[in-house]
Amino acid sequence: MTRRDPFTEIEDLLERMGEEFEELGGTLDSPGPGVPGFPGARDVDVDVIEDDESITVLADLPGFDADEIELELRDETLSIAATREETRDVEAAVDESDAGADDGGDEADPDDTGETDVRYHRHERRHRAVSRRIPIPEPVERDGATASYDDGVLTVTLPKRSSSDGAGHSIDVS
Amino acid sequence: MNRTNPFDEIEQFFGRTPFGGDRTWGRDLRTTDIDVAEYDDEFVVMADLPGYDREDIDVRAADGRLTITAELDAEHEDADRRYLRRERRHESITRSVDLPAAVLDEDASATYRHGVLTVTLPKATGETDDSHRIDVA
Repeated sequence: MTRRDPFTEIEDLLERMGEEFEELGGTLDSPGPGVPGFPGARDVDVDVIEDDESITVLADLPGFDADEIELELRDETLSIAATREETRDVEAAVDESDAGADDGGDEADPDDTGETDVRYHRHERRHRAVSRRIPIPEPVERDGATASYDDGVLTVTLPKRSSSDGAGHSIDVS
Repeated sequence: MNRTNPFDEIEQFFGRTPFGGDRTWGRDLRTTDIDVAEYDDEFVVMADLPGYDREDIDVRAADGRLTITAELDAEHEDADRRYLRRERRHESITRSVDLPAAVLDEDASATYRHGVLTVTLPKATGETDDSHRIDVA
């Protein structure tokens, strides 16, 4: 009964190709041969901009809170990771109006009861956990690194410097 | 006569699901990722629009179709700045989506927070087909 849909197959093929290219790209980009490719690297689109004083990384992270974003700079690689709670944003937008209409007798997890009422016609925004590693091409001043999050875009500014050390350093997101 | 715009057709090709099902095209072929969620009395459309200004986002509902347009200011070119990677979108985008049922355009609302546009459209009991602009709060 399961008929094969040629469009699904093409789509699957494109997806696999994309993953393989991304793995290949990750391997080429990584600072050393021992660093493995990073799965899910396509999840976050980044710009890396260099000027005389600093290297600036811009990352699209729509729908996260600043405290859900983690940054680490280690071995000249900037790691960005963001995780949000499941169904949080949609439920928050609708639950308040629904809560009065529904009977409150059920003690179950509100996520479970909310889920039964919603039907997704499109569900493209399904990334709840994303991450990306970006090699930084020049030594940077770890202590001078700053980060901000506005309108779903993370901006990390890394001042350049001449010498380098290898210790990992965590950057606060303001 | 009522000639169709070829760009509309291309847009529909990617924006709609002509082959049925919850098909997702490659990320690069879409202008923005959206969710269309149906609740008992309303539809909630969410769109990822990182890095836009609220006042540059235009949301319109007409004839059962929601159109989201986000304008991006032209970047000031700086000779001192050099792009080592450039993956983020740097252009204005438009995405249209057919709403699964009639909605009350005039009662729709929209918010923009953390780069995500949320449009709430109450379901209509009767027919409404006038174009209506929805303010982004």
